[in-house]
Amino acid sequence: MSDEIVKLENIWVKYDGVVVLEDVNLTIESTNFFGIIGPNGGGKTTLLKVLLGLIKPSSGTVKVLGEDPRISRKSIGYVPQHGSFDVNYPISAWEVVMMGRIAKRKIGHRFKEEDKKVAEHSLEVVEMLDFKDRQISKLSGGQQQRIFIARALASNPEMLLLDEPTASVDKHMQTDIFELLKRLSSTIPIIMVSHDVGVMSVYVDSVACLNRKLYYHDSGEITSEMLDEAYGCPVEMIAHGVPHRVFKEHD
Amino acid sequence: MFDILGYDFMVNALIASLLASVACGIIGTYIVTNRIVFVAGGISHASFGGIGMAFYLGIEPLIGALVFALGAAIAIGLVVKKSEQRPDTAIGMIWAVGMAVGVIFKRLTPGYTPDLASFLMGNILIVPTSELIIMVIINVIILITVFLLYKEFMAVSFDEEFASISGLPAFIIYLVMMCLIALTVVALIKMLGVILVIAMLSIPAAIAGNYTHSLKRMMGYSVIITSVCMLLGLGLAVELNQESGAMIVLVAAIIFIISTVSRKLTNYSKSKGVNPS
Repeated sequence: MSDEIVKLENIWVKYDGVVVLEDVNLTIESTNFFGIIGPNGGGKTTLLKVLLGLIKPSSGTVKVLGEDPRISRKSIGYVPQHGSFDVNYPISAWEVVMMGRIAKRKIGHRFKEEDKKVAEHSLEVVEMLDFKDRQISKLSGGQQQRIFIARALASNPEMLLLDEPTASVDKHMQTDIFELLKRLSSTIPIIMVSHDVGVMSVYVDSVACLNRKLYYHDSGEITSEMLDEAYGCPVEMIAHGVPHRVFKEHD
Repeated sequence: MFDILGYDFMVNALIASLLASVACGIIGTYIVTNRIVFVAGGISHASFGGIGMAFYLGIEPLIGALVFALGAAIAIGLVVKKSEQRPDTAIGMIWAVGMAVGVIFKRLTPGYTPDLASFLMGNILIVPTSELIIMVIINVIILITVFLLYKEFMAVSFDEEFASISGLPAFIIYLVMMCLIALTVVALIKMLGVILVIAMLSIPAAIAGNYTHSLKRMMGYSVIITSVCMLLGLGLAVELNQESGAMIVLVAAIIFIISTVSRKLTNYSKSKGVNPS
């Protein structure tokens, strides 16, 4: 495997003639906690779907883990945005994590002892083993998020991909999730998207700003110029520890 | 009341009730938890077209219903997952077109046509042994499929996107589930009719959902609740000389209301007990 976990070259995505992603170029090296920030409607989810091979770009080439994303997505631990699933579904935390093992067994075959061990270990990693029998709706937003991270880990992925992992989480629990991700990022490369610049910028190793175009500095730091370009208006830089602020949305 | 067991048709009715409860409880749980009651309604109403067609062709009505129910199930599956159409609009169309086709076939059928009303509202008292055999076969297919695909159904129901990213053929699994719904509808049509089927595919699972958050237990409870509703409804229908399908649905609805209200009251008094503020 090459060191480049993601290589996007001249990616364009258009829906009905509307340009959602414009000439996006991005290379992400492994052993990295990579953040993609940008306003809502800036194309973050579209970019994730390109990385997962769920959307075929109008033009450009995508390589994830050195392969076509439709092949490599089986090796990606995906943590979807809150709301893409029904939290009232009668399923326990344990059953959710076991879903991470679903593709390891042929259709119609039972789970094996190994699957249970991996699921148990994943729950330990996210410190949720004590909650394994809880129905998913009986957990807080932050606890649910840990369970979905455990599900992603249970598939023994080569990288993690997270869509707005703290969107449904209380402010004081967000730090816990980021601490967890930071810890995980020492063993597995992580890419996450968020509209929330402030808290995330403390934890990620490098960051890109996305608002139709991708603004990225090789240094990996957020510069005020990047934010200006991405958000289309002057944005104050946020210092460590200072509560983040909400950005104005732009069309 | 037990002297009614002396009649053969009553024995068949009881066996049919219990057989229907198994299919109904298991598949009803999937329908309720996946929020696809409207999909099930579309499939059951569309199957009426097949019943009309079967009369026109002079074949077994349940075979016609089966063909149309499976066709509607696959069509709805394609529309919901693969087309740009709004799903509820398309399901509504399939729903009504199936009924229209049924009525037109009835009109085209020369001579005497059996009472189509019994296929709309059902009549559990006229279930012949041949249909019991069809119900047994349908139950076996459902039990085997759900046993084999339990984790796949759960994965696709709970988070289809994650399931397909993991490499599961989510659409095929969804279609298989749609086809099981079609089979269940066919198993229930004779007793409940295309209109009332939807009640027994939703009410018992909804009652079960008041008491458990486990999918497996919800299925088990639903099977038991369905059979209780069926037997009570059937008994009342005979005692009161009433429509069997309608009585079964009313019994289920009353149990649902009692269960839901009593749950609310218990939760309310519990929360008062814990927080006496």
